[in-house]
Amino acid sequence: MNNFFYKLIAFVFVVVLLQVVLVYYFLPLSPQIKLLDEYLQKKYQIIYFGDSIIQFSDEKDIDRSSVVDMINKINSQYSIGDVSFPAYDSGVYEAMMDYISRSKNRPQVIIIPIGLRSFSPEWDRRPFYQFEKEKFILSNRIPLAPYFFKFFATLRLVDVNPISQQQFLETPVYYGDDQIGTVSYFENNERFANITKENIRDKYIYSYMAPITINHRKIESLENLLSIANKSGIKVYVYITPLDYKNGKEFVGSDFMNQTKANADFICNVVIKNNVECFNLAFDFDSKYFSHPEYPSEHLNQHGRGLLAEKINKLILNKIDD
Amino acid sequence: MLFNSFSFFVFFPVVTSLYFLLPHKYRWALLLGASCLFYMAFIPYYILILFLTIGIDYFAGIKIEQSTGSRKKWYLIISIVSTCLVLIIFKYYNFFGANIQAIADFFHWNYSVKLLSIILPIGLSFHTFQSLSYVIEVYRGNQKAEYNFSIYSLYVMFYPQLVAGPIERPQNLLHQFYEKHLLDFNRISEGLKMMLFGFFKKMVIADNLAMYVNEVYGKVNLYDGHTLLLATFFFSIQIYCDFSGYSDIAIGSAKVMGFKLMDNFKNPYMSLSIGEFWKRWHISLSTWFRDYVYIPLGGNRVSTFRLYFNLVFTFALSGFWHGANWTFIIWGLIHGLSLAGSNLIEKFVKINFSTYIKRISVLVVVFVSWIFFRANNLNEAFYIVKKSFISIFAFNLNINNILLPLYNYTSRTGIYLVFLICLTLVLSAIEVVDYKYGLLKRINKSRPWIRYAIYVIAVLSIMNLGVTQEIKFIYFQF
Repeated sequence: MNNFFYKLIAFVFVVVLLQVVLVYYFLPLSPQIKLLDEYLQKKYQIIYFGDSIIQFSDEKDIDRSSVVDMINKINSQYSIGDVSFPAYDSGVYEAMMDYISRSKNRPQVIIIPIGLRSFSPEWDRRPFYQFEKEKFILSNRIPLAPYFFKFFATLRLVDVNPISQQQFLETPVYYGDDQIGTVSYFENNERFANITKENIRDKYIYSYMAPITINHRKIESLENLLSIANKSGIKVYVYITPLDYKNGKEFVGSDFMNQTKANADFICNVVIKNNVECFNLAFDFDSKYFSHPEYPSEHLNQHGRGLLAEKINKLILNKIDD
Repeated sequence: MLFNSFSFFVFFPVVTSLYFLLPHKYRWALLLGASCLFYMAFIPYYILILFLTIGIDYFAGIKIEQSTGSRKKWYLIISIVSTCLVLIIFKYYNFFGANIQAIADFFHWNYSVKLLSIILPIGLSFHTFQSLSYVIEVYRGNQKAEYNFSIYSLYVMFYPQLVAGPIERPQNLLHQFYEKHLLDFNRISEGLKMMLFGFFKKMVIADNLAMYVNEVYGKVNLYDGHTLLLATFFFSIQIYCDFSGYSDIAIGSAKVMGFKLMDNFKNPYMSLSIGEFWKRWHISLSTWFRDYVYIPLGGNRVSTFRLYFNLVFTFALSGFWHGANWTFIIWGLIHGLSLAGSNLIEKFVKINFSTYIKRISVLVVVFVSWIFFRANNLNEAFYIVKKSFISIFAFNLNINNILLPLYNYTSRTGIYLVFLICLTLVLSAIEVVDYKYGLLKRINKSRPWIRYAIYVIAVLSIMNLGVTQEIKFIYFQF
C-alpha cells in the first residue's frame, strides 16, 4: 500500500516539475506577459498597450520599425515598453492594468490607443481575440497555476472560449440602429472575395457603423481599467487610433463620418469622465498613410507610423513632465 | 458529466476513495448516488425517464420469472415495447414524422405531422439495450430476476458505462455488485493505466482531429475532394480514439473499484475481413445484435437467401440504433452488404488474397462507410463520396484549401496539420504494438524507466496537447 502511494506521489511530483520546466523553456505562456514582466523589472517609464497597428509594417515599407520604435527615435528621453496584442481588447488591458498596479515597479505613464473598429462585432466577438489565457495568467494569484493553464482550459475549468464560433457568427450587425444581418453573412460569404465598390462599402459598414453605447463590454472594461489606474496613481493617456475616414466617407457616404465621429466622441467622453486625457486622432490621417485601400484597415504604412509617432511625442511625451 | 472534465477529475478519486473506505454493505448506495449525480450533470430531470424504464424492466423481470407459458411471453413483450417506446418517442419520433411528411408531400396529401422539439436523453440507446438484455436473459432463464431494486438500478446506471457502454449483460455485471472488492493496488494501477491511455486517445488524438473534421463536415461545399478525403481519414481515426478512449476510461475506472466490464475494442483497423472487424469494433453492441436479433431471426441455420437477409437486416438495424437518420441506415447497409458480399466471394472464388490486400479492402469499406456515419444528410454524404473519389485521380493539391479548416483555430495552420498527421502515426504505432503484443503487457514488461517515461509523456501530452473547445464523446449522442 505504502509503496503504491510513494510511487504515486513521486510520479505526480515528476509530472509537476517537468510541466513547469516544459512551459518555462519550451511553451512560453504569453510573449506579451513575458515582455510586460521584463519592462516592470527594468523599471520602464512608459508602457504602451498596443494592438496590431503598432507593430504592423507594409511590404513596401523601407523602414519597418514599429510606432514605439519610431517614438523612441524621436525622443530617447524615456524608456518605452511596447506590449502589443494582435487586436485591441480592453478586457486584457484591464487585467494588465490590475497586474501593473500590484507591481512594485509601476511605470510613470501608460499609453492606450483605442481602435474604433475593435468595437465592431467583427473584432469584439471574434473567438480568436478574447485573450482569456492572458487574462487568466494576469489575474491569477495561485503559485504555479499559470503553468497548468492549458490543462485547466482543456478540462474547461477556465473557459477560454466564452464566445463560440457559432455564437460569433450569430452576432447581429448594425448600421446605426438598424440590424442589417449577422456576422455569418460577412464572414462566410464568397461575395467578399471580390473587390468591388459595393463590397468595400459593406465591409466599412460591418467594421464601423454600429453605435457604441455605455453597455458595450469594451466600454465597461475601459472604465474599470481607468479606475484602477486612478486608484494606483498611474498616469494614463488614451488616443483614438487614426482610421481611413476619407475612404470610409467615399464608399459609405456622410453617414460614415457622423457615426464614427459620434463613436469617437462617446469613447473620449467616457475617458475624460474618468479624469484621463483623450486625444481623438481618428480623422487626422489622409488615405495615403494607410496600408490597404481595398478594405477597411487602420494599419499604417511607414509614413503613417512616422506621423503617428510624431503626434504621440508632441501630444503625450512632451507633456509628461508638466 | 464528461470524463474529460474537471468535475470528473474530482468526482472519480472522491467516489473511489469513499468506495474503499465504506463497509461493503453500504457501497451500493454510494455507487447508486454517484451514478445519479453523474447522469444528472447533463439534464437533471431526465433521470426520471431513466427510472421509468428501470421500474418497468425491474417489475417485468420479476413477473417474467414468476410466470410461465404465454403469460411469461406477454410480460416480455410488454417490457420490450414499453422500454422501446421511450426510445421511439425521444429518438425516432421525428425521423418517422419527417419521413411520413415527405411521403405525404410527395403524393400531395393534405397531412401534416407535428415534430417534437426535445433533447435526446444522453446515452438512451445504451441503457435501453442494457435493460432489454436483462429482461430477455431472464425470459431465457439465463439470469435470475433481481429482486433488489437498488441493485437492479445500479446495473442500468453504473456510472462508468452508463452513457456509452460497454453494453453489459446481466450475467456479467449484476453479481459483481454483491461481491466484496478488496483494495488491490496492482488492479488499481492497471485500471489507472487503462484510463490514462483512454484519456490520451480521447483528449490528445480524437479531440485535435475533431477540430479539422467538424469544420470540414460542417461546411462541405467549401472544400475540395482532397480536403474531404483527409477529413474522412481523420474522422476514421477520431471516432476510433474517441469511442475506444471512452471505453478504456469506463473499463479502467470500473477496474479500479474492482469491477470487470467486457472489452469493447480489439484493434479493429487490423481486421482482415468485415466479419472480423465487427468482432473487434464495439464488441458489446455487435454481440448484442448477434444474440438478440441475428440469432432469433434464424442466424445462419437458414436458407442462403434468408441468411444474407438476416445479415443485412441486422446491420441496417444496428445503423438505425446509432441515429435516426438515413445516413446511419446506409452506414449499416454498407457493412451488412459488404459482409454478405465477402461471404459470397469466399464461397465462390477460391483465391488466397494477401493479408495486406485483405486489410486494405476492409479499411476502404470502413472508410467509405464513415462518410455516411459522419455526414449531416444523404445529399452531403453522396457529395463527399463523389468529390473524394474524383480527387483520387487528381494530382493538383490545393494546399490552401487543405489548410482552410484550421484558420479559425490557429495561425500556424501548416504546423498544426503536420501535428494532426503525426497523431495518426502515433495511433498507428500504438495499434501495431497493441495488436502484436498487447500494449499494457508490452509496457509492463519494459524497463521501469521506459515504463515511467511513457506514462509521464502520456500525462504531459494530455496536459499540453488537448483542445480547449468542448468536444463531447461522439457516442454520447446515441
